[in-house]
Amino acid sequence: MSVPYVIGVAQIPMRTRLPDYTYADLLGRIAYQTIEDAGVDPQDVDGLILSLPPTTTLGIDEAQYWGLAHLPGSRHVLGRVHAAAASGLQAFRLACAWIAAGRARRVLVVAADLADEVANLAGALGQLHDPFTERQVVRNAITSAAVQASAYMAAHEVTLLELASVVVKNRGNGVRNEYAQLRKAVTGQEVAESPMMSWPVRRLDCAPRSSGAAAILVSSEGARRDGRRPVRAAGFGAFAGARMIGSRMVPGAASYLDGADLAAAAAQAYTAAGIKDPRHEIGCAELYAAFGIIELLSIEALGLCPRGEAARRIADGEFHADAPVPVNPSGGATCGNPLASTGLIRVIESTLQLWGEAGERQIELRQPTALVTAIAGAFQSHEVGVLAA
Amino acid sequence: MNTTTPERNTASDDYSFAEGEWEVHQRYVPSRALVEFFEGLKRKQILGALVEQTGRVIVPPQDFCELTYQATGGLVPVGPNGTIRSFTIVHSRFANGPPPPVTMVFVQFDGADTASPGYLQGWQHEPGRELELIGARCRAVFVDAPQGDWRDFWFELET
Repeated sequence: MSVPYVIGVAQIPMRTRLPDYTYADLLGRIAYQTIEDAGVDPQDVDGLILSLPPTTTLGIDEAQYWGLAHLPGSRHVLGRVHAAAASGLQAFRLACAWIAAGRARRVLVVAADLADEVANLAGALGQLHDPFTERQVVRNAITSAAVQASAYMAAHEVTLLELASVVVKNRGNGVRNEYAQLRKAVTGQEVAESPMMSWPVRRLDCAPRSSGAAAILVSSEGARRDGRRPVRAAGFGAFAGARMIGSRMVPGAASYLDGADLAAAAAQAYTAAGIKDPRHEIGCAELYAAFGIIELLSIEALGLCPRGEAARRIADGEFHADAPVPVNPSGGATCGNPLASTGLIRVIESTLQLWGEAGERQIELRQPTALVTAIAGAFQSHEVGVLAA
Repeated sequence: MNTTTPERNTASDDYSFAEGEWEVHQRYVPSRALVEFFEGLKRKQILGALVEQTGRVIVPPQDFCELTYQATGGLVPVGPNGTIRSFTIVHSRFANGPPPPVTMVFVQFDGADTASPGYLQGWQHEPGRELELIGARCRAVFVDAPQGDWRDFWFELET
């Protein structure tokens, strides 16, 4: 079995709007930047996977009509992944699997998002819900996160200000990230006083609506650029949770509220990567968290701290950029969240940290190992990856 | 790693979109269990799907159990009383929602092993006491003339 390595990465600074790009432009530009970053010949790419938003947000114009012949690997298209915010990491996992199976030597994964092309993003994503029982209530990303946050606050006696500690940490980290959409630090008080969206989730607790693009070249050989340590994909895990989120909210089956589904995906990834003690074996983590509560549940489900303690620990400085296990040193999805790219960006940011190429946001890694996650649907489908240098 | 900065200031509004709108009429097929469930609502009755092998009762009912992958059996009555497992108070106006504020709750009907979404009415929001809703008892209240739709009922706290 071949070992899959990340040998090239590229991302575009996230913005609300990217008016100079079409989807096809974005894919082409980011693809060739990645090839250049890897230092390989485009002709040597023998696999291509597209990571794109769900059809209702992408629009009727689908990638198969774009004419992708100009993209590296276009003679070897492996498919399109559109698993909402898990798309990027799922596509990366599939590229690694293709390499590991010996079916290709270099697979390019390309993601693009033009969020402002859909006037009503919430409405478009709402089309993904059950037409008989879920569209009749306002069950969307914000209200789903709020339902998780309410239960978490009640179970662990967490205050609104402690809940805000995630956003304060991440916005502070985002200041140093040249690719972040939001680069202004905020205080807990500012979060707590921002408009209430859906109690207890306030506006500053919500990831912004973002356009962006990202790409990764996966190879069966290690890094080609001088000075780069080979970064390999050491393990993956995935878990597709319940269709109806309410079916996992009751005593004895509360995985929607306590993160147990993500823990199941993490267990797969840790086993594959040989991780036995994540608190001491992980150097940094880039965790998908469009809302603060998602990061809290994720930190705990990934075994980085006991259940119910993440909020207070972050408020006390743990998981910050200078802590033993920094979480989202890039600022994470809090500072920019292009739907199909965000999972790839988690991988890119982790790779940059492992390469020592993260610029102002570079942290000192205690271990040469990084953890990445992405979540899809109403936060019930999970992807986990472990990268190692 | 390369950085491409957008050539124009992205805050500018000096570009235009070609406007478009989807006109795609969709006809969704409900499961057998859901058809029966909606017929039950017309009689002001809440029904759940019974997984005969385990005794699990699923609301809203499905034709299969996600835990055992077994086909569900007949429908059994649940509720109308139940327990709130989580909630949110929606302050924003969403495309598919009523005017805010509105309280959305997930309620485990008595006799059910899942929680179902709905709106809580007749509840006075007191800041600082929101979390008291979790674990609170409530009951389903029906409209006068149910049409066989999820919106035929809402929840009110038990008195």
